[in-house]
Amino acid sequence: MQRIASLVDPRSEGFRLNELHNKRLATELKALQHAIRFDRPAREIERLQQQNKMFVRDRIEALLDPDTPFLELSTLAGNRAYDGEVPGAAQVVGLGIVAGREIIVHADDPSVKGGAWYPHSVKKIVRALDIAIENRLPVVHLCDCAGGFLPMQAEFFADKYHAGRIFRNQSILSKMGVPQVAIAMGHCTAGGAYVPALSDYNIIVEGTGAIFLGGPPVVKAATGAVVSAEELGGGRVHTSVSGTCDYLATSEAHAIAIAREIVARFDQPAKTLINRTAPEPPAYDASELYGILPRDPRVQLDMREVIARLVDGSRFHEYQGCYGDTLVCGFAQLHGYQIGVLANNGVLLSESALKGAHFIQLCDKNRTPLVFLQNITGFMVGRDYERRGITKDGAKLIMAVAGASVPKFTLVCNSSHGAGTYAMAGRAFDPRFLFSWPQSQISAMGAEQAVGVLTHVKAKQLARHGRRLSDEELAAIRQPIVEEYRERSNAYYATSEIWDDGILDPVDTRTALAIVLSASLNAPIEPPHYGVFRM
Amino acid sequence: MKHCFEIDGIDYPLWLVRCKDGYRLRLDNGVIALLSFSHQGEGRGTLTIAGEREPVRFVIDGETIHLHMRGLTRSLRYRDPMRALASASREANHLMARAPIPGIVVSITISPEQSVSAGTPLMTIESMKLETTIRAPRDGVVSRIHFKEGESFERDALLVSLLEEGI
Repeated sequence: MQRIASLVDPRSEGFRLNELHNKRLATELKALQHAIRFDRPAREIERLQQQNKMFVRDRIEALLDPDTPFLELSTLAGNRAYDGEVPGAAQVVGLGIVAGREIIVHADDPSVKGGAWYPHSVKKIVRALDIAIENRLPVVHLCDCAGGFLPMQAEFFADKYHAGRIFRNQSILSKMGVPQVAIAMGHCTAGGAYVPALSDYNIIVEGTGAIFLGGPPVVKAATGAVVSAEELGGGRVHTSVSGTCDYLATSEAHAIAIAREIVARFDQPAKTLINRTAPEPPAYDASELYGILPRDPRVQLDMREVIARLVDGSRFHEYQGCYGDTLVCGFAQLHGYQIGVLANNGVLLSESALKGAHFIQLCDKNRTPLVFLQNITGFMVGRDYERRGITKDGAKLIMAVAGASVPKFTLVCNSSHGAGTYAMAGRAFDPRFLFSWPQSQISAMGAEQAVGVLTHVKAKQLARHGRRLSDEELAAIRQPIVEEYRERSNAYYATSEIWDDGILDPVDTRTALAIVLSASLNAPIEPPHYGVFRM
Repeated sequence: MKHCFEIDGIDYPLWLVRCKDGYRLRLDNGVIALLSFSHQGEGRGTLTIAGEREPVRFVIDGETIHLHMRGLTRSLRYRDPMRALASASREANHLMARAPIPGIVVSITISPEQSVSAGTPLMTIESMKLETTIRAPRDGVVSRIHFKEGESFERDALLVSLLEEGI
């Protein structure tokens, strides 16, 4: 396979300015992640110590095999909601190794609002369990949840993907033979009570762990009875009287030791085999990505420069290099795994869409997972393009993306707009994992284009009454739209809403992709089959 | 969670990480690399620690490894985390022997203020034509025997109360 010859000059002024800009973005990302992981009011930490509880990060560290990678997902979930007062949406979710097995960790964070479930907490847990289902990954739940945050119940209770979906997903995992272990480390109240109850195995910590549908205050309100948490649903009750729990642990560390031993006993199905060779680092340093990503997101970027810093030996077997060149397609190896890469080098045209659809089918046939590198402003518009069938060609690409059986992974590198978001395996197309880079923008349309469309509509309305749009009126329309876009089309909002699985520092991308590729192979790959392509 | 081995009463948490050409040993106070071992027949082999080759002899006896190396023999005991981390419960529950089923007291084998250790028979009860021995749930001193021989009791009734020794 040929090595990509980079045309980037690391000594140029442009490179240096980009580097400054992107390193600053990465530093800001790391600082926010650190604050969300560790900054808690002193009283919360003291309360945990008084209760003899470990901090959620320490629980997870004790659970995982030492010296193995832990890929935390959706660290910044909810960072733009609740005035920033619910860091991480009171949940920690990630992909880690326990007793040599790849597993999903889901942990309530009792240092945030008592581990209460907010709308974003529910979304994050449902997503964690979707990942477990799609990739057949066992789950360890570290439960310590005061129940749902009732003032917001309308936003997390009744709908299809609300809290009920957590329990539905748990039941489906069990039915699929993908085991779950739960540890009740604190109160598991109301909905939270079902998490351990629906896990194939569960452990309860004596003294601090308790499971009940209604806690002591609810019982008091409902029946007037005064009962202690321990009597109502403590470890002894559930392991010797009700049979709700399997193992009684005398401390959190003991509970974690039991959980590790249970996971070590899981049947470990053979991983799906795909084309694989010995891994090799890229020929170009990943840190050069900082100098390559344009500081102005509107500036065009040759995605081959990005590919060269992600894949083994920077080698890329490009497919149809001279046709539909706004979509770069080709084969590469990432940590030894063969992947098919689709990367945007400009707006999608009919030719690029056709090439992409064909390439996806090739990869699907030879069991090659797909990696989508998004930098897409959309499909080309205009009379000539419509006459040549840009819509039906776009539909072919979408049909291929939606139908592919091989695992898909999506990285929002820079821009992601319009139908381009969909055709490049956006969230709705079930990529196994989707990550964003810090500067990326995602929205139905760019801000300026949206302003153009909306002012045009307004001008037409006024024209019917013989009036014209004044400059003030134009500004009055423009300002709120630009404002809205600035607020809600950036990567931090996207990750807050869990439209992705997290923002990555560009230099960490290769490692993160390797971890998720490896995890995805726990699930078998179905034979290729598709819907009807509009020819 | 690291593995734990005990040598001469001291616990050493450690973890072996597989890496290219062998293992990395992570201890609480640092890392030793590179580590490898080649087995040369029954109880013998060569351990390579950071480039130094050491012939070793060893015997594995259950959870204990007796290792002879550099003229010294040491015994390493694996501390199973499930057992090592299970602390004796301070719960008052453990200081009571309760009736597993309804029945009558056949005989009492201890007397008040007697010291007992976990597992000591306290009394024999009869229920559904079967005799069952009630044993001390943990170490302690008998503080009260709640039923006399021949008396009947319900399920979960408190039969014998213990006090922690030294209180």
